[in-house]
Amino acid sequence: MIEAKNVNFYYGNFHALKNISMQMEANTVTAFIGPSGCGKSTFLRILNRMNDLIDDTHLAGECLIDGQNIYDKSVQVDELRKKVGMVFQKPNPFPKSIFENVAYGLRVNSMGDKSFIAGRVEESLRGAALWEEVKDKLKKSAFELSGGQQQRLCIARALAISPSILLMDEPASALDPISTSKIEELMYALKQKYTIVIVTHNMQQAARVSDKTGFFMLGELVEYCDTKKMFLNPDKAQTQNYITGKFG
Amino acid sequence: MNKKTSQKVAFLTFRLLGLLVVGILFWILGFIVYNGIGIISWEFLTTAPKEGMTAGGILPAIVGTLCLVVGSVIFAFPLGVMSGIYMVEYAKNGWVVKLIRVMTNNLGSIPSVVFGLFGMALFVNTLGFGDSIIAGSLTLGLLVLPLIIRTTEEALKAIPSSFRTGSLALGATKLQTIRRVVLPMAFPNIITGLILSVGRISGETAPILFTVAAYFLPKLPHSIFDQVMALPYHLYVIATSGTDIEASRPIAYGTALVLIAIVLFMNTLAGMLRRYFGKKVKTN
Amino acid sequence: MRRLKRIAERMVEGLLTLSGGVTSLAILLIIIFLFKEGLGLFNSPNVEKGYSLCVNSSNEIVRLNPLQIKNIFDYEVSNWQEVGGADEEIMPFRFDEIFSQYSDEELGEDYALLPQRLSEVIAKHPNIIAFLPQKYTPKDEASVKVLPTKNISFADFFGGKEWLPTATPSPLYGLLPLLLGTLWVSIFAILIALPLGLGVAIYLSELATEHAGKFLKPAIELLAGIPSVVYGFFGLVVLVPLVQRSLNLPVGETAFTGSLILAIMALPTIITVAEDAMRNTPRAMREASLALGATHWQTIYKVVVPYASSGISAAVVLGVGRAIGETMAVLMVTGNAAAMPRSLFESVRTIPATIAAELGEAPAGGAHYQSLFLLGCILFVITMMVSISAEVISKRQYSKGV
Repeated sequence: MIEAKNVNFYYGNFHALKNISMQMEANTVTAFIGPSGCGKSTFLRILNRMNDLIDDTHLAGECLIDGQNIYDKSVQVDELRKKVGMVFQKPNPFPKSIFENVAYGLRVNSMGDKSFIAGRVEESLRGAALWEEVKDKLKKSAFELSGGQQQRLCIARALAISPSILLMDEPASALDPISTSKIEELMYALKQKYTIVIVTHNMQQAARVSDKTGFFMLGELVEYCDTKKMFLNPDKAQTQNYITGKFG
Repeated sequence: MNKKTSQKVAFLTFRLLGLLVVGILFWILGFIVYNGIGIISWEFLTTAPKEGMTAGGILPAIVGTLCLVVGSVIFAFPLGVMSGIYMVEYAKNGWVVKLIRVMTNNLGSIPSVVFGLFGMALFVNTLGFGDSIIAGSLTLGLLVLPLIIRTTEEALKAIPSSFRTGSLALGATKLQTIRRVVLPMAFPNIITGLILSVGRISGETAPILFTVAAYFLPKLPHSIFDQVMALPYHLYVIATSGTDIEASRPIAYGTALVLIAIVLFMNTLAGMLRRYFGKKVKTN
Repeated sequence: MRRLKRIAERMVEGLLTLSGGVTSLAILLIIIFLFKEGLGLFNSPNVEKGYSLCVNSSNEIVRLNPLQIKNIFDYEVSNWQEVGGADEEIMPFRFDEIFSQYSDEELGEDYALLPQRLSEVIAKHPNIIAFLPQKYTPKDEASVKVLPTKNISFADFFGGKEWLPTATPSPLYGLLPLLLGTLWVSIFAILIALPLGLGVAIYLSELATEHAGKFLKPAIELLAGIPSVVYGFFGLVVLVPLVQRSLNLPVGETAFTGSLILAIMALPTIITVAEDAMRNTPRAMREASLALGATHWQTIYKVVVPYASSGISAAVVLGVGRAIGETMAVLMVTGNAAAMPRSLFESVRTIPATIAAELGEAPAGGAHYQSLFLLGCILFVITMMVSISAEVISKRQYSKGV
């Protein structure tokens, strides 16, 4: 379970997130929607402390995962990121073989021996619905795959280290419709084992894949409720306007 | 003059100037190749100078230059690469980094003869190495350090940050990310810097004048505290102050040819590598 | 296990941080060592160490400067009046002349009587000036006046017009001929290289087809890669005779020859920097000019070149910097006469060439050695100023662009 309590976030003097409080249940898909620059990606990156990499940023408030404040001094960032996997907007496989891409996380975290790694790689590739397509060319460079395959490879790579949470930052925005539907199917299957948080600018996508949806605007969480309710009968006028395409 | 004609005249001049530059290059190279190719032989490359450096070969100078290249690379390459990694991957954009960058630029613009003076004062006299391979290598190493740092920085900056975030998101530490993802990708371009500095080291004369170079020493070195001959200094000596300048002229041409061949081979290799890998990175 | 790994990582990262400071450390060390040795020159006496100058006590001269001393012992000044004394002929006396005037017996065992004999000589000649080892200088003699030695002063160095570091009794360390020689050769080199380099830069950035650029760029890189000693050799065997024959000069090793070689060597720097600057001219500016009916050439000299002017200035400054510091090529083709430069077609000597030529013969720690380090300091300061001003100039272009 993920819980944010009064999270405020600043880039320098710019107040990017204002008093965000929300809870995300285990084994659900939560979608964040909103116009670009609304802070949805920033909030996603708070959940695995990716924002630490940006200079001159500052966070106030608490963010708890399974009851533990992830910004506590005792938390090791790399341990946290092992538990909270991430898939990026553009597929970013390493210039290594398909096999080595998936094995990477296991190797850097010194998890298991050779046979364990081989097993995990297959399992993860199956989990990402990529195994059948690549099982004969595991030694080939990851760059030989198509864009959609590369993105599923990145998902497999994230799954290999057995995270409990999977963050996806517009994972299908750089892909064609067929690859997109494959990724969406995958999300549905992955929900059984993982808690998924997805940022998307595509409202249909949010409506299709998510259980709950959060609507962000100008750094504020305007509305957060069941996806069905959000798209059929939102509480706020702003949400209604956005969903019906009056702005954004 | 109407504006079309003036354009024609101007452009013709520029074309000719471009040709002139190529012409100068071919003049210099052609002159040295033409006069030097006759003396190059297996014997010339593998024997010591004889009869007051008017006959024989240049083996000790080749070996000496080789020693200096290896010595300075061992010192400067790891240090330069580490420094480059610090600058790109670790240093925050503050005044410290600005200072370091200014210092690196300035170190690169100090004339080589000043490095010679410094090497003599510090390595030869203060640290007591005497005229030796180690003193010369350290001096030359300092000289190429900015070059190695700069190419490393450029190589690292060319790696898109998505690869870094991808690795960090998988729970890799920063150092693991650098070692397993960033460095392997940047490696070809870092090697370019190494090759360029080898070319630079083999051609420099002023820094070794007072730190290592021997006027005439037909023996090969036994330890890093020995003096050696070196190709560029040997060329200087037989061109200006040999025992019989006229008689040793053919040897001077031969030495210049060998020196130029080494340096230009290194530069061309580096250029080809850069163009080859430059394309490769872009297509991904 | 994990803990150990973390500690190891911290150590490697510490090492990286330390190596980040290595260039700053190197510069600091260079400054310390250069200036420590170089400034030592101002603690050296202006008469050769261990020697002193004596005159007859009737002589009204109280002190002489190094140039006067040198002129006296070179017989260029022959009357005391010329250096501020009485109207009397000067009689320079070098220490070894004493052995032709007295026999070994008269000088006593272990030359014990030598100081006494010397004082006799000085007493006998009121117009004498004697250059003597301090060990044998007569002491407490009423007839002998030892001239006080002064340390070499800033004015002697920075204002001195003669560089004669091995002259006795009083070596001269005058910076001016070397500094002017350096500037003379470098600036003239840039005057040759600038129009040429600018033309090639315009050709490369504006006119060259991709094919021609592919050929020309590596050629320029190769030109930059040729070692300076090879340029020197080429200059020596090709340009020196060429200059001598075609201009009908007594010797071909002149400032002009040095400038020619330096111009070729500075070309790659000028071309690359100027080309970069011109390529940075925004497309919109060119198009605006072309749209107003200007020809391509008018656009280049009315829009592109002015826009790139600070980049071009940076190119000039960097080219000058490269030329000022160049050692071997200049050493081999300029003839190295350490006199004030008067014409382009005479031999000159530059600061780097002086260091390279003389350091081998200067005993470590002596005044000559120190003077060469001081030259190194001057060179260091000049090139620092050059590189900083180049940086400032090219920064200005960026801020102008915004």
